Amino acid sequence: MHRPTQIHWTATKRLLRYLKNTIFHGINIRHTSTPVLTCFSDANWAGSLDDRKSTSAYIIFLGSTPISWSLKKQRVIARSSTEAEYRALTTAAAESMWLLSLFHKMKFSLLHSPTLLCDNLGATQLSFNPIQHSRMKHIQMDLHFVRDFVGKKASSCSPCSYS
Amino acid sequence: MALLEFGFINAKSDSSFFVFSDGLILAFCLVYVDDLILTGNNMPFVTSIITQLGQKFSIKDLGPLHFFLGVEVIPTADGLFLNQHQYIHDLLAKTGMDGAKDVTTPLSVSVPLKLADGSSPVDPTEYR
Repeated sequence: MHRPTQIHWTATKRLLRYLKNTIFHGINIRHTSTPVLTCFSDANWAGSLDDRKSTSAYIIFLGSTPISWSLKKQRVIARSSTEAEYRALTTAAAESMWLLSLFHKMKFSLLHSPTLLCDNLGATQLSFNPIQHSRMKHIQMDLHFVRDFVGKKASSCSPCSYS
Repeated sequence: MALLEFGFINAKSDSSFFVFSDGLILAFCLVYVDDLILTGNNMPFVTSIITQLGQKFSIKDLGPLHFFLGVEVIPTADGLFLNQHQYIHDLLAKTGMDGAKDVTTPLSVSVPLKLADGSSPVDPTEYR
């Protein structure tokens, strides 16, 4: 970070004060947890006020235990919220695939194929709609990747809402 | 690599992860620089690996897992509880924030973060 300002400094100190509040928080791993993989993904469309880039996020649960999570600014500018959500879904699908290969190596089998969840209806529909829309051509790589994953491994990609 | 001689296979999905699988015996080994975790479903096998590793290298068996990569591991009735209490404690001490008032949310909703926000600049070296 170059040219930090007083507001940035206050925000950084607030993060530390938050850590102080959550110092005893942690992750509880239960062996009684059901062996299912659930993957939640979300995006904040044009969230960055400086360049209007979006932010991708996902969190993957094995049963009730969070095992992998990420929050990252997207590299390219998304022209619609569906596009931003779809990019987040792609990152989440890629991580799920990596986890599946790791589980396979560990001889660990899941009860059923992973579930991908995203709160954008457009992105969900794109994940199983085999018709390529011309307006979506610029995210073709991501589209093919998730469709392939949904078709072969993940049982479903469903919309979900956060309240 | 000694682990490979014992029959462990390096996972392609993670180069620091090793799996041993033979019949009913299954064992996992995670290596990070000079630190490693070894676990399996057969205690005599795990013990024999520790003994064999001890013959090749100067290793110290720290017993049940307590710390790995700054994460504390506490056994519970039905599993494990992972936390970074020590790491946060050290970070707060290092930054002189251990006496600060704590907050329940990580970020203010009313102050948007921008590159140039008009407030006065601060010393960038404090961020490192």
